[in-house]
Amino acid sequence: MDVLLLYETKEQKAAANKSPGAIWTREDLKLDFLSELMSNGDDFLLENIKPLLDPAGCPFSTALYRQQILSDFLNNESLCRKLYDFVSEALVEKAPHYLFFSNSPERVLEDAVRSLEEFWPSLKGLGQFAPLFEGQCHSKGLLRFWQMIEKELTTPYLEQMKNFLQELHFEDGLMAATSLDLSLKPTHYELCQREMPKDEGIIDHLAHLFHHDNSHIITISERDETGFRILSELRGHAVYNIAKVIASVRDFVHAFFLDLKKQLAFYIGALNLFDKLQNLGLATCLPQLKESGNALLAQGLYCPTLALQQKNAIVTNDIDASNQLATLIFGANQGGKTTFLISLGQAQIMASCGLFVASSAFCATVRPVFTHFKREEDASLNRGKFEEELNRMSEIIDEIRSGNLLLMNESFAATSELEGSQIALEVLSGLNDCQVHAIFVTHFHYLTATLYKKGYAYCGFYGAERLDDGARTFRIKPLNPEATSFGTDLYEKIFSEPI
Amino acid sequence: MFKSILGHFPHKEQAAAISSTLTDLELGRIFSAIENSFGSLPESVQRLYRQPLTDRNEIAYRQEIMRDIIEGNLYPGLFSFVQKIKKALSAKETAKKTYYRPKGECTFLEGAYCFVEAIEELIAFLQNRSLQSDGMKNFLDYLEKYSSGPHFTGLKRASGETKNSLTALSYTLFIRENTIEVNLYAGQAYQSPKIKDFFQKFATSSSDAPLPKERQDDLPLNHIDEQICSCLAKLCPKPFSLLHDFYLSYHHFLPPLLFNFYLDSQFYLSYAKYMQDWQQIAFCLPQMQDEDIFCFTSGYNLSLSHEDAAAIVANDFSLGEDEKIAIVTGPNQGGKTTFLRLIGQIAYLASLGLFVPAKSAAVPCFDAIYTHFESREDKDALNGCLQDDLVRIHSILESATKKSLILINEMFSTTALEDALILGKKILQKLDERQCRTIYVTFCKALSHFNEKTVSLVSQTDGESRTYKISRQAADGKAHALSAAQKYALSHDDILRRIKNGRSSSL
Repeated sequence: MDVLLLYETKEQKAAANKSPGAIWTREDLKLDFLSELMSNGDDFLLENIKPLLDPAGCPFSTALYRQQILSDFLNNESLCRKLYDFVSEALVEKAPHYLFFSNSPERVLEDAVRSLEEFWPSLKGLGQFAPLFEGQCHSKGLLRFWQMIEKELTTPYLEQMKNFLQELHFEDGLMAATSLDLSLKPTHYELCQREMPKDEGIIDHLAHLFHHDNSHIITISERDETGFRILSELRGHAVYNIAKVIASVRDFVHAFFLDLKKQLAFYIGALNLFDKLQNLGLATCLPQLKESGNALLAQGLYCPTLALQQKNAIVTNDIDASNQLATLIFGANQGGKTTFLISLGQAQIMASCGLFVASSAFCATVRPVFTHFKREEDASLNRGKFEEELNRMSEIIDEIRSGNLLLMNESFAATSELEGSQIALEVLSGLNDCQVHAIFVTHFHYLTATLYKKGYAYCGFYGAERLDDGARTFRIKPLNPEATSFGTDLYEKIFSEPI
Repeated sequence: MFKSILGHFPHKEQAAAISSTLTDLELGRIFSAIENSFGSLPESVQRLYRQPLTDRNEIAYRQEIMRDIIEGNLYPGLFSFVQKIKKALSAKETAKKTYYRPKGECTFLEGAYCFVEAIEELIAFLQNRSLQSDGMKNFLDYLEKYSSGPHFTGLKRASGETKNSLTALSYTLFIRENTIEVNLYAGQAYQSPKIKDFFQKFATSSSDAPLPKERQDDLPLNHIDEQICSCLAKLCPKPFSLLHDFYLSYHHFLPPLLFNFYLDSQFYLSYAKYMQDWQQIAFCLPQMQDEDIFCFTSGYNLSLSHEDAAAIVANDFSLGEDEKIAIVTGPNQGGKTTFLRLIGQIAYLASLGLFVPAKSAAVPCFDAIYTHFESREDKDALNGCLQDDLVRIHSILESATKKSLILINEMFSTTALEDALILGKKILQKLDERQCRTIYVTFCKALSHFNEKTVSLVSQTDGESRTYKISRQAADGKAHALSAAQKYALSHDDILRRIKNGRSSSL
């Protein structure tokens, strides 16, 4: 019995990347803030959503698998939230777990049996959800899950389970088989079934055995405390194997519910975010996913973290970066370039991990995202800012592979425009030859002008839009990097005079 | 015929090394490192380390065995043999002290079983190696004969039969309230497969339940255990009587020659283990030829810690047949004493028939190694010190022969330079007359011109590598942007190479 709502197979689930990794990318794209928005202040949700908003994304089939489940969730919101609450309830206040960790096998067994008896109603209750979902769901993942529940947790099975648990209280004593070893102190015992009619009293039975003179009884006298301790050790040895099995069953059942809750958490988080954006009247869509290539196409794209912070109308952008391996976005500062890059990165990652995106239409190849953003506060004191940038880029080159997406924001701005541009030219041409898809926000006029003049086919150009009167719209438009001067407009605005 | 792996005449008691030699050369420190590394050493082996050999043939006998162990990789087989015999012997001791008879007899049986295993595994192991030394070849020969003899075959059969009959005894315990009912097992069905099967769907493939491991207690049997055993002995007496007979018949299972081999092999094994600990340095078996050449290359002082050794430069040393006297001078802290100890250690270890810490070495067969190091007495008592120096060197000169090695470290350092020079020359003269092989560390540079045959050795301080390191950091000046890019391997070609050659895509 496996919960497979995030991954299609057990193998994919096991192989999933557990390390948080890519801290910079998480920071640059405000993924942790996005996770918080999805969690509504619930720590459990946050803890389980965070690792899934992974810049490395997941395989194409997994993203698609989740997207279909998400679609079912969006269409059956109240039922899904009810299920989540039921599962949360099942996990509350169960008999203390691991508390008797170092205790005797007997205590472990007792504890596990009691705890399973407490889980029993939840196992039964879970089955009752199945028919409710089956009429409403279409996704492979949810259908398969409920079919599994109906197949495995049948009423006869649950009844027999109850009986087994009852037997394990050993109200009529227990029998263990073992064999001698050279220590004369065997530790391996097997619990075995004692064939004895229920109504036959123990004394009669023993008398019967004595008659054949092949039975020997040791009686521990009431004051023999050591004897009782040894007896309880013997019982411990006798139930050891069973205790192991039952404790692992208890752990499994607990883990099953916990796992179910964790996996549902992702979709509950998605519902939370969806509701918030909808309340602001903002558009969302399930993205069109591509398995390969460099698809990256958005219409009405906006930044959900910024939108929810500002709680008002927001600039939307259109971009098609599918046709060029390098897209350069240039233009004046505070033209909305960084926000645009963040919204693009967030959308790509949300799409790649199976979520909806904050855009009216979106199409992207499922793939890992890397970021190289200018860092405002420089933590490394030993190295200059510029060296730190180079070093970070070098670390990205270690990891990034053909077909991946790299978002660069004012990279190499820590050195002069000429030097920075020269390095950027090297890096961009290298990335291009390796089929790495790059989106580069830069104010280096030299860089964009050089690339434009050379007429490289792999480069596309977008610029911050300016109206004829010079006012900014914070929109990004396809634009050729010709005669724009930097900072002039900003200067003029701040100094209120022509330059 | 096999007698011992220590030499042709194992019963000839060797004289112990001079105790000041052991101290001055810090050999004691080496011996305790050997012991610590190996675990523990029998007293006889500890004694062996303190008994240098003087007979070239005896040394060669050991060298051949040592070569077999190292080059033929005999260590694992011999070590496992030693461990098993140790276990067998301790089981025998425990058995004697055990109160409940069947328990003691079982412990003894386990020991005997262990002994049988040890012998059989060792034979199989040695037969698979190509042994070169007379000592090991003779031993294997002996071992093969012993193992096909009546003592061993009888022991093996009886121990097997006894063990099988005991372990075949299956029984059940029915526990209810304060009673335990003991019965022979009558085929009752086990519960756990049934329960496991039922809960199959709740089974994890990976982890086990967090249950503490079952205690394998070595405690003596408690009274309940004993009562259970007694019940079993009544229900099924045969295994218990077999056990008792076995104990009576095979009380002495280890023949004396094997016992000696068990002890003596630990001499070689402990040293082999010790060599393994010093992975970073080379060891060799020294040539012990007739000519009086004393030399080695890349020698390491073993009494330095492993960390120090990494920083210390290996030393070469070479004295020809006629070069009897060498004078070592040079600045303080230049490693002179370390070097002198190194020479002594190599000579000493060679005389034990062991590998020495050098790439190659030729060592004369010394009849004794005398050391004269600064005494640790109170330096204020000037006369006392000088007197002590003279008394000690006098007694060395009394017994030293032309086959002796004499190592002198800063003799007469407490007296005036003038005196030291005069006295030093005088002593050198006497040593020269006796033709003793002498290495003399001194601050008197004039002594190195004692006569035309005197070899002068000078310790150097070596700062070269350090300078090299500093210069590399200094060369790290301001760089042009593109060269900085190259430093981080971010040029077009670098990126192409790194991404293409990197790990395959994560998807």
